[in-house]
Amino acid sequence: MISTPSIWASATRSTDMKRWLLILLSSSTLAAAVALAGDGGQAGRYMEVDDYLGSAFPGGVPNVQVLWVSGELREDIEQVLGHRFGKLRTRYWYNGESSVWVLEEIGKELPITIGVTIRDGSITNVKVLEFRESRGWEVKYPFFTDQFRDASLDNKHRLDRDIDGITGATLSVSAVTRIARVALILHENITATS
Amino acid sequence: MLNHGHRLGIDQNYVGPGWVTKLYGIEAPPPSDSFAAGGHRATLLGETLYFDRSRLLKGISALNGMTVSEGLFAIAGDASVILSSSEGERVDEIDLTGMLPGPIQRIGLKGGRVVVMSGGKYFVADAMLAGFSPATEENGSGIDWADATPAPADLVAELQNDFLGETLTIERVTADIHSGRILGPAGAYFMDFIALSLIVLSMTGLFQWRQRRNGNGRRNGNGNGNGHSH
Repeated sequence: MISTPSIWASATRSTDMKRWLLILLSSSTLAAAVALAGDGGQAGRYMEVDDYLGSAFPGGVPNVQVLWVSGELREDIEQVLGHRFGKLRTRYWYNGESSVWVLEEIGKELPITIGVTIRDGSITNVKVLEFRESRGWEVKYPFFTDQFRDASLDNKHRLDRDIDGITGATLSVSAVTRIARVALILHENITATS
Repeated sequence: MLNHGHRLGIDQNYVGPGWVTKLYGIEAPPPSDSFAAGGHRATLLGETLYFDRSRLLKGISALNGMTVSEGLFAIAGDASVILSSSEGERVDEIDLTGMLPGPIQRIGLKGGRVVVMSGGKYFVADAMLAGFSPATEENGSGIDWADATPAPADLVAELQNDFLGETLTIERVTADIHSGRILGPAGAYFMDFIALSLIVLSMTGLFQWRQRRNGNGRRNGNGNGNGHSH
């Protein structure tokens, strides 16, 4: 004779197994859907440099100027970047109050083009103008770039605040943060000399 | 190693030219174009721009000329002008995408100023070579345009060798070894079999261990452990 507890235990185990199988199947389906969805291909040119300049200087875009990056300035910049600054000079726009810098920094493999507007030693705007990689483009959104508003440098060329990262975009976040610091250093240089 | 590839720098360092690049079937392309000016030469190999023997920039889709003004070499890409020093150091890159009606067709010099032509229209650089503006009154006469000339064979060979040395990252090769794809599609299936085998062997090994442990436990519970009964 089959004991009732055995039947009950068998039935319970069967029910548990079905429940676990259902959980496993649902999780697998969800994981597959997420994996197949991909990142939607959000790389691209979001804003032309001329348009960015127009928005930064509503009263008229000043003439472009050139700053040769050498000596101590280059050392400071390369210390922030962690590698060589890839050009001998950089161009900028300055109307006596605000300066705009359009700089590039590599996220993982390809450069990100970033516009930075600075006034009175603080950042007023950071804008990702062009993103070329397949991952990390979330840095283009205001929820990330707005963190840099009013940011300035301490005496060790670090930002005066922590920047919250974005999961899956660590390298892009780091690149934009480095460029923000470099732009502030460059602004400091031109305002000190002028 | 792959999980920490960026920190280890394996995505920025390359496997040099040799049997590995041959295994991948990678060959250096012939030069697309080459221009000489001021005793120096710009050459495009694939999407890598060389100034003499120095690698100047990657990601360049076209080379449309080179001219020199005030010691700065202005090299025309598709929609940008790359500035180089005579030592092959990148000075700057001026992106003209928003200004030009189409790709740069030619670059030249007139009155000491760099001029580019795009869509039949002309654009002239300022004195600092910091920017370009439309030259609405320019009709194209009197411009010393850059013309392509073949690069010397020994230079081409040297550039091709350098090109091969920058095609395969250590990360790529490591990933292909890890997945088995370095041996082609069969290699990938072989690695799948190895991975599944490891899982099966782990599970059956655990099962066998449990079986043995349960079997020893039953023998110890019946007597004094040595199989004799009194």
